[in-house]
Amino acid sequence: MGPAGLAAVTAGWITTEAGRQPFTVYGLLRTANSVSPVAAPAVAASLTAFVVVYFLVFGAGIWFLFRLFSQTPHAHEPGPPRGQPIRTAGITPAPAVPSGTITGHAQQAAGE
Amino acid sequence: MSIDLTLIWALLLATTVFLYVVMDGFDLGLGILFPALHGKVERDVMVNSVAPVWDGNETWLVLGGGGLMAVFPLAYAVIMPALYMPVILMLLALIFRGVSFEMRFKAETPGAQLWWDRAFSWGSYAAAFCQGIALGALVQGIRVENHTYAGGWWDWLAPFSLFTGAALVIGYGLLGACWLVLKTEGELQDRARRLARRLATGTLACIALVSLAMLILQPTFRERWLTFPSILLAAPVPILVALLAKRLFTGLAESERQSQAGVRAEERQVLWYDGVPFLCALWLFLLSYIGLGISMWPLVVPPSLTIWEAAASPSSQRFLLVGAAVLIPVILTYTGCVYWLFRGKVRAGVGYH
Repeated sequence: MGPAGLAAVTAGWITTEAGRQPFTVYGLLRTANSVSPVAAPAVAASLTAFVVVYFLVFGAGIWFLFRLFSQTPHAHEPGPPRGQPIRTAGITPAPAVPSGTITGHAQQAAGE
Repeated sequence: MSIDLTLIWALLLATTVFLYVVMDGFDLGLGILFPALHGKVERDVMVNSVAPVWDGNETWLVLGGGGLMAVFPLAYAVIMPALYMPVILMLLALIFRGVSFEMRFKAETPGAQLWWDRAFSWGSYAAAFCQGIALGALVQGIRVENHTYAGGWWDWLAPFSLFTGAALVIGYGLLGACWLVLKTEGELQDRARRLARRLATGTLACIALVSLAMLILQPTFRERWLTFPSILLAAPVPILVALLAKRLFTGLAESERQSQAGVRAEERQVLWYDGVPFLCALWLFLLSYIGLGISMWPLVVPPSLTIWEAAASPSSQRFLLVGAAVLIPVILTYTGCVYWLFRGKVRAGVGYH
């Protein structure tokens, strides 16, 4: 089921973009009239550059993820730190921080 | 005639772009200083000093770009094709810079760390250089015919735009060095002060050269700066730049004396002594920006397109202004909170990402 979400999103996106043709704004603006005055080689060059950079950066990220996956847990490994934030943002599988336990930690470390 | 919405929007977007320039300016400046500051501990402290704020700083780029598209669609439609190459290169450079913020701390070998440091530094150089090129290319004029861009995809390339690119790299370096004087202590601070002195000299030379070039570039610019009565508005700018430059150097000297005295001053005093150079650098940027505004006003795309010609319909402007009136105070509040929360000196080994 892993890639199903990705496939659904991509299929939906292709349906919207292709189904709207030959309009950019349906019934109001033709795609041919909304093309920006950028030379074709410039578009080709930027697309190629983005593909290369995404492969490099995502490649490095995925390589790093696989490195993390390949590590098996050690016996008696200490868990994530308790009672203090371990990230500034984002949804993580980390334990929720019990309320009232963050007592000026960040201020103390950064400010003074 | 009621309120001039276009004027309000022009000032709002000018403010947004300025906030982007100085805020991302100092964190890009750290990447620009990387070749001069080698140690792993030093570099970790540098990156950690902006880690909580750097992505917030880039909010203003998104807001500036989005605002330009929504409120000045004609300007957006002309500027983006004209500056296609520098803008794309800037975005690619910002990808490398942004990713290496996290990845350089995950590197397992010194070799990998070196490459992520290079990604950070080269990304910062390229982003700053491209922004300077974009500014130079915009100021020297964009060819517009029938409300569309009428040039090619290499029109941005000119000696003037390359020079403004280099100038912005030096200017961002100055902001970065002054930020380090404010946020660090000890040996790293000493080195940042030395760098700040050299970069301040460079920045002032660039300001002078670009200002002179501006006078040659467009007759309308020259008229603004050299004829009565607009000279009354323009003349204080270079005078204030000279005064600020002097204050910047005395500020650096005072900060050095304080740190060498060895006496631990009160925190508030330290903040003042070490903060003055950064404040002066910010003001130098503001004055340069105001100088640019004096030259360009009321054009949004020199040599011909004014803000009123490029503006969207009044109803769009009004609708968007309601959103901005809610959004901008929220952004300013959380930005202020973050800077306040992470105020003071950054110590080695302490980082929030």
